[in-house]
Amino acid sequence: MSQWYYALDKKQQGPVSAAELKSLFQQDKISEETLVWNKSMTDWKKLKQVLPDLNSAPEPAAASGPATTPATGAQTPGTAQSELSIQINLAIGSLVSGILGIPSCCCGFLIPFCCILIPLPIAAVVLGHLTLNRASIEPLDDTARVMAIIGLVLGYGSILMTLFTIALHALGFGMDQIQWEDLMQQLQDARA
Amino acid sequence: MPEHKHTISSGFSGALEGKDLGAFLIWGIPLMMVPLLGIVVHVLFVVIFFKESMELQHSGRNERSKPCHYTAVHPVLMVCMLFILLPVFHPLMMHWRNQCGAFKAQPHAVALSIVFWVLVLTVSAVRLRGYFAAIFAVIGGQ
Repeated sequence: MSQWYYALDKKQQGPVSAAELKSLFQQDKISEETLVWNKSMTDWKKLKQVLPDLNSAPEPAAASGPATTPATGAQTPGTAQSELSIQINLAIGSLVSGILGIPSCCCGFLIPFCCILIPLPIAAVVLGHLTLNRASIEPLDDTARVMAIIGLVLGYGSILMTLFTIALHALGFGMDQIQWEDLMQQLQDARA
Repeated sequence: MPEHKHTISSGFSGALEGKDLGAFLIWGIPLMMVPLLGIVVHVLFVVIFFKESMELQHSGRNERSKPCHYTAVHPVLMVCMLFILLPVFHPLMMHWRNQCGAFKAQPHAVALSIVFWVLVLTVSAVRLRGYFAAIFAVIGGQ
């Protein structure tokens, strides 16, 4: 019978039999994501990969390979969650900054409201690139990649539109003081 | 073999005690159209998402939980993004909530969420049409 080792709290535990491994899963001491290894395997794998039918207790198939124990610190569930967390947070930051930075496009027309938003598209671009650069460290999460790309598109788009409206403003197409007072008056009328 | 209380898709059972609020997170969106009540529902949504995520994160510290997006978001960022951009991130949070398998699955949660938010935003835009008209009139040189 194969002797199994498993990673718990980033430490190697075992050896235990396959039946004991399933028993540990059923007692909630380990999860389907827990990394496990036996002498026939080349590297650690998730429990669900080597024991896909955890509730019916089949004997796992053994593969040929070296008989030395690989290091457990390569990719534990904790580090996987940590990397995912970094990617997701950077990507969300990029997306939020990109969306909130859209009104900065109007800063050529509505200077008081929109000019303070100019840093947001820049932040969206920076955070978006930081997210995509994480791919050199770990494979990038699909959701994080999509959010980062949307953030980048919004960020670059907002920066370009901001420059465009500032140029229009410089050419005299912006809102002057009279138009601004007119807007305030109309907003008050709308409220009434 | 004794009956196992967990399934692979809901391996967090026991980690999260209490009533599942998934149904409210979906069917509560139309309440946002009610004046004043909308603010309360908005705050409730943020609190529920935050609380669920924190409880799930706590249950994951002893490696009983698998890594999931629902717990990956930083608490401060989660509160900010949900307060400011709830219509954008609500469908995403519902998707992650279903995906992590810790809660009762809400079928069609993402589709319903998008439809409801489009409805809520349309009603809000109609209510504020006077403001939009004033802005566009001034920008348009009227």
